[in-house]
Amino acid sequence: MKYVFHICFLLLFSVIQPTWLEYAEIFGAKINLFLTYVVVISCCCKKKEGAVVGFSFGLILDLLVGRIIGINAVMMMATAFLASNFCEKAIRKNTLWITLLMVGVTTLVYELLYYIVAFLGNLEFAAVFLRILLPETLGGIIAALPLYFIVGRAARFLWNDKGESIG
Amino acid sequence: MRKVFKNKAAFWLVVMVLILSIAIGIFNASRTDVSGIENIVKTVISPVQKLFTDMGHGISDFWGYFSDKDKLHSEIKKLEDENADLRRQVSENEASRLENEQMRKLLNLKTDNYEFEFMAAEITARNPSNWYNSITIDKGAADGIVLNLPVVSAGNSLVGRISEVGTTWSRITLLTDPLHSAGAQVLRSGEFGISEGDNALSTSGSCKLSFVSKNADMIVGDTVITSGLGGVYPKGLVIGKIQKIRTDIQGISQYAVISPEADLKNLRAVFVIMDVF
Repeated sequence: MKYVFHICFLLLFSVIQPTWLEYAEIFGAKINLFLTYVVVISCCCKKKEGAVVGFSFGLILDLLVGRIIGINAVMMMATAFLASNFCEKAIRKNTLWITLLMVGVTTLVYELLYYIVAFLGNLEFAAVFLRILLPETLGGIIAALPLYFIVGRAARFLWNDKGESIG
Repeated sequence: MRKVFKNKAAFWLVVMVLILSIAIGIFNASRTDVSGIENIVKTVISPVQKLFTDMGHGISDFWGYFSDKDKLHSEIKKLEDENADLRRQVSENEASRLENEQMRKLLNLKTDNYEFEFMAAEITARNPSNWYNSITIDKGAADGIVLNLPVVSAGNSLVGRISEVGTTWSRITLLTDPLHSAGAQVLRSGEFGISEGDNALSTSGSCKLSFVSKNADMIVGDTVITSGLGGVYPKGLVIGKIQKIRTDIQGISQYAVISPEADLKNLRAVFVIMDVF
């Protein structure tokens, strides 16, 4: 059941991210719904599941972006694994604030790594930081809020995971 | 945090991912061919994206009608005035064209006003990432689209070039994308340069005219067109107008910030030039 839930979100984001998100830009930057969902899922579900979701969402994002195939898949899988590991071991109890903090930190680090890996630092960092990294991080935190409750409810009612502590 | 990295597997995972990502980035960055799986995914998802894009435009237009009513009235008035002005210009131009034709016949000159063959295409999606500026259109290899064809909007304003071709879809790299470049020329003075995308400028919807000598004759407001050099774009497509002129860090050359003529943010349809050279 939970994988049907993830596939529904994957299809929804595949359509919404390249079409409707242009109407909801934060200071000219689009929200990365794929990454936000992966981090929220990682904080709410098991490590292995987070990694599988991260890889699948990353791969589809790669196909939609169409430049460097595999980079988002690998990076999102690792992000999911680390986020899940962090929530599980360092914090133990998942709360809304922890999830929002995780989304903010991972979005910032993730996009920073993408900037280094994909462009090898070949762009003006200050402009990239102010015009892409910060607005996208802010957007990710805003988008994580409804996602947290949706995933929390789903985890509680559709499958009996760590969802009992959230939502 | 320590607990997370006490787990050696987590630490090595980070190292491996970094190495793998850099390798993927290096070996995959300049690819132009579309893989089978990529083509299938995009071919299946493209019609759904088109539907969502149309719905988005519908909602945006409906909302815009109420929120911009006064603005629309003044715009209609302005357009009516412009229309009257253009009608007058058309009749003047027609007279000039006939005169020009007669003179050419008299002097036995060949015309260099080549008429392009265009294919109209609708935009189905935009790049989901903030790092790249590209759009997807609803025409692909099945419609005769091939790699590197130039794409313009109404009025021969440059939009970009075809960078990936699928069966029923194609991706256009916009002129503001960091990976885009085109031979350019300042229309007034004839100064040559290269128009290229820049990530720092692309979020504000601009691109830059680089490789221009320090003493080049260009001023704010100059129109920049394609030079025809480079083999991708024909000469004379309008890139945009010069917004700012800056000297580079070394002080050897200058560059200009160009505001594109085509409204890239609100584009809904484009024209692919099918017969460039």
